[in-house]
Amino acid sequence: MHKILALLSLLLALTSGGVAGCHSHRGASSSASTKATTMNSAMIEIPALKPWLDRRALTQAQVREILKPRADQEDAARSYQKLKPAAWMHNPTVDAAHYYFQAEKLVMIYLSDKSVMGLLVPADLEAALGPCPQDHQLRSRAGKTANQYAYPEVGIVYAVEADKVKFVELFPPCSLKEYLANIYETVGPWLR
Amino acid sequence: MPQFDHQNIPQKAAARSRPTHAAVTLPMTPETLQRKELMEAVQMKQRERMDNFIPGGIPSQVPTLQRLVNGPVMANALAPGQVIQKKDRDIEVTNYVDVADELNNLLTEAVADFTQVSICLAKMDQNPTAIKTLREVYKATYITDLEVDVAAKFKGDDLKYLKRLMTDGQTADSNRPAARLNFKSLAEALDTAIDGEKTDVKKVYAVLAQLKGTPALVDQLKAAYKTKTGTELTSDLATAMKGDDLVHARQLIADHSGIERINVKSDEEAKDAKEIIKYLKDTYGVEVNSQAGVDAIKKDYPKVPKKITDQLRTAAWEYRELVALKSALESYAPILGDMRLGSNRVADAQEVTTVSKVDQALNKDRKGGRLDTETMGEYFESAKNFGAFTKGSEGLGGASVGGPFASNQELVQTTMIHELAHGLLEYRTDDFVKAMNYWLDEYTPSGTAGAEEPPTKYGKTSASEDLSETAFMFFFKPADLKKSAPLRYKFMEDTVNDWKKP
Repeated sequence: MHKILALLSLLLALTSGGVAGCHSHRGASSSASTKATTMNSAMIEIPALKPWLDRRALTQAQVREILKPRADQEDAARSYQKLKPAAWMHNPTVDAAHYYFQAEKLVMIYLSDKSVMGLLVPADLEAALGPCPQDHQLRSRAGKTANQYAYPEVGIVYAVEADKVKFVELFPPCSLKEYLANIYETVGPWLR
Repeated sequence: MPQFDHQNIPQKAAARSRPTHAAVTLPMTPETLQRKELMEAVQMKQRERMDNFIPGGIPSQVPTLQRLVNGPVMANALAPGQVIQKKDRDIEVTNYVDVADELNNLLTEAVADFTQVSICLAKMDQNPTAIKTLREVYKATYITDLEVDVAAKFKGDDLKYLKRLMTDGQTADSNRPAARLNFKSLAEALDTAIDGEKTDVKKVYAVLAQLKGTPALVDQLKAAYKTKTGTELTSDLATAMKGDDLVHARQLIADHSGIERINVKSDEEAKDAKEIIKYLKDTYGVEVNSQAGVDAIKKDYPKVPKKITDQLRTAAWEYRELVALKSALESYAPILGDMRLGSNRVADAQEVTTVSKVDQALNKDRKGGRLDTETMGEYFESAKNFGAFTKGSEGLGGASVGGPFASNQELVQTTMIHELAHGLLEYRTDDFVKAMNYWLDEYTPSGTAGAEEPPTKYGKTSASEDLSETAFMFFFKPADLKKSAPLRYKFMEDTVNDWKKP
């Protein structure tokens, strides 16, 4: 089963053009056996996220062509969590998402705009992606009572607090191990 | 974020004899100041005793436990249209000096009374801060260690039991998950121990002390006992035990959920604490209500199993915490209580209406959630409540914890300013994110090179934490904030100035 999952992840990565944040799938160690891990990311049906799910294979130049960002809406030396450095692009008049690139390849689409989050229901996401295994449920920077549900095998992670989706990360599929190693920034203790 | 570390708090030098430095001017370090304050409290207490001395009178064998009922007296008959006023919460005050005195009296008897010593120690509620303070007061007054005196008088299971009551939060079993308690076994043990005149009172204590006075656990034990015996635990205890034995057994299963408990070092502190609680409610519209904090945690952590949330319990306030709370609320005075009516916040309901002292928080809202030993304070938006936890008061009054804090008293006060900001300044979060290019949104750093950083390391956790840390720096260390984070200083300055505009 593990070998099948690893091969599936590898296939997904190859079809999506690979990702710097998720360089290789040789280290795939996920033991998850969810709906998400047994389906191709193209099979995921989340209507509210569809425009962005489809854009994960775009290059920096292609995204630039869509967003047509002003000079201050683009920065070649930003970062997103562990993705450092990463080029950033964002034009809110065209698209609510923030795009991040490494070596011209898209490595992250980040969404937290309240108008988009308002369209998402945690139960619907779970229905589309399947139950999130315990080892894929992470602490979230969204808050002490927030949980981050990771489905890196299909390139989707979302954070929920008080039954509201706080943010969504979309990226080229990878294993949980790679997501944790290359993207997810460990959340420190909430002391006060 | 400076981390409080028990190991790094300078311990008081062990005094083996009373100091005789009358002719020597000692430097007034924080430690000596604290000792001076403590000794003054002890001396004041002794003077009071002399004033109240009644020749031939019989001194009480039990330390004073004042239960003060403050609030409107309820009329039996209501006039037409008269509204029943919500009764203020009862306040229970425990004076460390009284407890230390009583313990010393008991421990200097030829044969120390185990039950009475237990009653004294149980007043500390197995709370680390309270146990630590009692030890300090005892040592400051009698020069010897409380543990040493107890160990000199008791041994075996009796000593083990008394040590359990003196658990200070640092021992391996102090945070033993009560969820592992097997209530069926405990009920069976009680059933065996309770046997009319042959009742094994020490066995009863040993069972009941494991509950650490946690209401939900007491309820579970009562239910298990009734299932086992068909009778009520409290009734059986009352039948089988009497005098101090019964007092202590009841003490171990007392329900404190409707009571605010305060630990003080003098009668003056007791009086002041009561006045502070009334003042906070009358002036700032903030009720001191610890059970509200327990309820808020249960509501905001719905995924955590009941067997864990059942372990949540209120804790006693330290007098200094109430002083710190009053000072913290003063920072936000223009938008609290009646003052809020004249501010720009008049249209929105006050975001903090209760404050609580709770023993422990929960670490995460998941099935694997457990009691948390790190959280010092937490704001609960759904309940408009802010909870102060025992962790936040550890080492209260002690020496510096490092970082920007001169003392743990400052750490407590700044934690309170910080938590209040989570509620009272939440309306400014979006503006804060827009004004600080450090943040992409409420949760995500922008990664922008050269962006002004949050004033503390903990402020980097999220924009909300950044704003709360910025607020405490603004009110507590304004010059430092202005120097290190001028954008944030300006943001807070504008925010506070706007409060004055209705």
